[in-house]
Amino acid sequence: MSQVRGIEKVLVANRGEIALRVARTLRRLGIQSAAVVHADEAGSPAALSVDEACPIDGDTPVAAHLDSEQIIAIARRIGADALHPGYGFLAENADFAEAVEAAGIRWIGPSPESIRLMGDKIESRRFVGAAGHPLTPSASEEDDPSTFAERAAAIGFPLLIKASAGGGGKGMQIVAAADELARAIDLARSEAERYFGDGRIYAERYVEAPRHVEVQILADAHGHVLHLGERDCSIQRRFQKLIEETPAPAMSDALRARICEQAVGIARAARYRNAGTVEFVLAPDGEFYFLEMNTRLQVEHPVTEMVTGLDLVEQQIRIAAGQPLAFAQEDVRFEGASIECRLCAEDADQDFRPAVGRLLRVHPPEGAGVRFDGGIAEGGSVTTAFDPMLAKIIVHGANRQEAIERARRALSETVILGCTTNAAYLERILGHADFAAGRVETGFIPAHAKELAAEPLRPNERATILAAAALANRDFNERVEAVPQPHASMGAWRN
Amino acid sequence: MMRRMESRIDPHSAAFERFREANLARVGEFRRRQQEARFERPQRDLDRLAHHGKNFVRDRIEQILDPGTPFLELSSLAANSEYEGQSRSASVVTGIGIVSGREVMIRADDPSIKAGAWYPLTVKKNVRCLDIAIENRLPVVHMCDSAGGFLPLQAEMFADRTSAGRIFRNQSILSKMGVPQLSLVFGHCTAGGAYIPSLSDYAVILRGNGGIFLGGPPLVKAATGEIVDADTLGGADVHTQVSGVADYAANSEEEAILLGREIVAQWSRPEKTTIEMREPEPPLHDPAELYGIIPDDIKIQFDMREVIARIVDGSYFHEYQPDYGKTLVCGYAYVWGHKVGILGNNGVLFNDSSLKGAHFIELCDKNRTPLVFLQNITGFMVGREYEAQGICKDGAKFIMTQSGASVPKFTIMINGSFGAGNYGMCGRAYDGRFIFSWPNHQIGIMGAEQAANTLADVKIRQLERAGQKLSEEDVRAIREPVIESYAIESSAYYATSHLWDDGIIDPVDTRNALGVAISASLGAPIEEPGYGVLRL
Amino acid sequence: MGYDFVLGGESHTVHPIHEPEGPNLRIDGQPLRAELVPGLARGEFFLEVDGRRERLFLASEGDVHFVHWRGRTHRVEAINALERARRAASAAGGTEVLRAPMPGTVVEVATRAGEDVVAGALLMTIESMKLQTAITSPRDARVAEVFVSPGATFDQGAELVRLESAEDEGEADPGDPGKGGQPG
Repeated sequence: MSQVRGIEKVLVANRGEIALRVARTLRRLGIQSAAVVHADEAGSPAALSVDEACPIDGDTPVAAHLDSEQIIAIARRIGADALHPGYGFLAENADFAEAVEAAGIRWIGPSPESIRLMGDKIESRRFVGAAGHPLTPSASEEDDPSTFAERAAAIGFPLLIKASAGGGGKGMQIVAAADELARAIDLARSEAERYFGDGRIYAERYVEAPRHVEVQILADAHGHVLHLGERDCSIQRRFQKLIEETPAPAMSDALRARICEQAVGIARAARYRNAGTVEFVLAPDGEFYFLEMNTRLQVEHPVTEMVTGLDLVEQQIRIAAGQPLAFAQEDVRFEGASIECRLCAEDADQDFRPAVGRLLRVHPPEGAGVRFDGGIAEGGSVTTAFDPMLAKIIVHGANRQEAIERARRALSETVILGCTTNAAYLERILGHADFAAGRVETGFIPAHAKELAAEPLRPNERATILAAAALANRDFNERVEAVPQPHASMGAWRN
Repeated sequence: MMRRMESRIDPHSAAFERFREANLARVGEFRRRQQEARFERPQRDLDRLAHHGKNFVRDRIEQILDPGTPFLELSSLAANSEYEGQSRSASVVTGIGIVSGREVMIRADDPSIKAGAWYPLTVKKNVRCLDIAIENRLPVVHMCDSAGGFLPLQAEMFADRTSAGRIFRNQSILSKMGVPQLSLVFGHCTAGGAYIPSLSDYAVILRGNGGIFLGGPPLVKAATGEIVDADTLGGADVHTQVSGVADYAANSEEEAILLGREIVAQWSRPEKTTIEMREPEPPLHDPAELYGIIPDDIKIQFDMREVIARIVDGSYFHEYQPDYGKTLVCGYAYVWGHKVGILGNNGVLFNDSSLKGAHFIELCDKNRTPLVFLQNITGFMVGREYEAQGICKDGAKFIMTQSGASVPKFTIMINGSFGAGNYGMCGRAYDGRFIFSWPNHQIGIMGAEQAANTLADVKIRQLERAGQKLSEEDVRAIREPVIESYAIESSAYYATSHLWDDGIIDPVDTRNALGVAISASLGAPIEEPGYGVLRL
Repeated sequence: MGYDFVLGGESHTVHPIHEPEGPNLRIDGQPLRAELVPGLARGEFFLEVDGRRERLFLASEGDVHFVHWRGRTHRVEAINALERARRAASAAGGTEVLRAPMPGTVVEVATRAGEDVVAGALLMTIESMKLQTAITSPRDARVAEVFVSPGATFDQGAELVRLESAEDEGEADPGDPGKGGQPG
């Protein structure tokens, strides 16, 4: 029996960790759950966690998850009241959101207009600027292509050339000096075409040693908008977030309040509905600029859940059902600190080369304040078909130090055998003095690359590992056992 | 269940110390000669090996053996007294080792000596190696790399019953018995040598250096005028792709050896003959004390029991007929866990010791207990009294039962081996599975002194009949050459050179050598017991 | 000759020592005694090594072993020495002549002199007794010379193709690190 009136059945249009996480909330709320499942993942934990697994297919597994028509047809067929898009795939595809709503299915997310507005980097910046919120100095090519290079140069160097329709670090070029500008513009444009099918680009000031700070927004259909605190996501590698935390370290309460206030203002101005995240660039001098707004649930939402005690997916569903928020801003409590680490299938010792393999053993970490959000299970295969994030390890502590300790221990205790992961690398970041001191910025990883490299094994450590492997190796044992007596006992005797 | 032997020697006595020094010197000399035979080569020959990219024969062997396992090399000093010492170890290395968990006989040509050419003693050593394989049903791994027969000495190694042809006959019989053979062709197999891989069940040939041909390029040119290089005539590609003479081609020696190991791993392991076994245990008494027990003079007696106590497991020994026939010690013991019956000389053989020996051999044969003979014998007792008592027929009974015994027999030449005593105590002619000798070993129809005296005596009587007398100097002139030539021809080195045994070993290695040998012997079944008519 | 294992991109040798007491392994020349004892949890083991008891997790797939010990996971691969020797030897190459397994005619030639081919690549198709046979390359190599052309007839044992060693082989691409569905 669903606890949310009007929503009896939800189709989760996603996979892996997020599909599993959404299904968990659906189950708790007594809502029937369904998910689209590609044949390759028929036995996955996500597929097994829902009441109804609906097969989808396509030229590739990714293509299947991007096939809006197929997904909507499925939602219709199974009689879903609502659809949760997760993150990635079609989550920020305004056309898809529109089509879902047109099919009479509630979209668990913001309105298609919001998606469209905030999905366009140039439009969204224009809108936010016009609404009186801080923006990084920038220039859009579209405004006047012939003068774009000049206007870009006028921002000052270093600067960034970015794709308007972009995200995830793609279509981005850093330009250090004027002589690199022309080439960077061409490269950014062609990448934007290639990855997003949209060659529009813009230039903006490049803040050195910036921090990435974002604010979780929750807004209902009745005009109530509030924030659930900020998150610092500065620890990134090649523009991919690796470690996120809340509250942001080394930040005055005054600054914290100002950033959150700005975020709420932006959401309100955009008449935003449901969950969303406003991202800012925070400069070392305390200036912060609107970066973009993500019109969906973020990967790192669990850290907010850990400190507020709220279930964000539940809030999303209630908002989609038309319910007003059950609490006001002053009711939101923030307790302790939370850190999330993204466990990825990559080999940090081999230049982060993507790793594949069959998961022979998965022992998630346990203990007080430890939460493991993973879509993986023993026997599953990790391939390059989907992105390399396997799971999120989220910890909560009374304070940041305790959270860091718990996160480090959780990472050491996480046993994943069969596919190389970055667990040890993440633990080394958390153990770095600068991280402990809160000296985080988006260049943290390249700046500390040498210190973060794995220490080479000492000979006796190598011997232990090799001994274990040799004794586990069937061929080795067979050959050892094959040696008859008395020869085995005689050893390597020569006359 | 047995009692441990007690030791009665005094390791601090002057005699012990004197013997020990002498034996350490003998072993030192043995080790020096062995080192020379095994490793010293003219630089020119080593250069030639390197030029062809060939590994040294002993490295090839070490690579194919299972790590951490023993290798019992046979006849390491073969041919040391012949051919001016040029054919070190008779240009071939043979021995028993473990490859992929299987006991195998390894026979490896040594191309660092005259390109691996076969001398007459090379042929003899090869034949002996395959005789051992047949008797013990040991699979064989051949490492072929030989230029062929050493032509100047062809008359000594071609036509006779146990000449080169016997090698190929033995291979055929081994195959008939179902015992597998592998050939790794690292170099040339020319003329007769080409039959070795051809008669092997499996043949791997090295691309480049490997070649198999009944007639090599020079012979072909001489015979028909055809000019063709070795690789085109009989290289890897021809034989693995066209002719089928070889089964696998390898691109490097390492690959050939690893492939060889994988091939051997395919061979099934037939059940071995079972005999009484027990958990092995090192001797209680220190084998190193053997050096102080064996005298520095062949005329000095020692108690064979002290030797036994330092060879057998736990120094356990169950002595048979301890109060009778005391010049022959008989009893049961264990060597590396195998129950054996030991016969060891403790003096000259008398009627009673001969009978005791024959009886004990009967017991072991019926009991399916392998026999170990420890020789230190100058001969049977002579004299009117003993002839009247029938020493001839008693010795004959000893020889009859020993010859007929079906259980595996092993002989260690501890010290002297003279006259008919050699026969009864299972000398070479009696088909023991293995014979090993100690560096102090001497062997001959009789001792040097005795021979010199006999010959001088004959001459003296001859001249007496003619009414002449022999001066002391004349006597010396007769005796000394005899003693000198006997000194050479009775030495362990001379014996091992001619393959009258399967190798000289350091006394402290005796237990291990026997352990490997006995284990190998159990690859063949033990026939029903029986022997001929005993003149009672 | 020991048995080889690759850890951290480096090859190491493990020798068994068969004596009943004392060390039972020699790793890169160092002797030690180690026993692997299963624990209670799935995949949990205890390695009793030189008097210490090390708790670790271990899982194997064929000849690849994953060892999780002291908070780090390591991948160890057992190397089949023969396979490695074959690959090394065939990369180092040398010349090899492929000969006709039977008399016949050449149907088509799929390669030419100078081409680099991989093991198993089709070099030519021949026909004999109404049966077509593919002549493929036994190893990664470079085609040095093709001795026949389409339509030619040949005897058994005739030279068809000569191979020599290929130059350095390229590394396979690790693949695009970013795929669809990438979260922000």
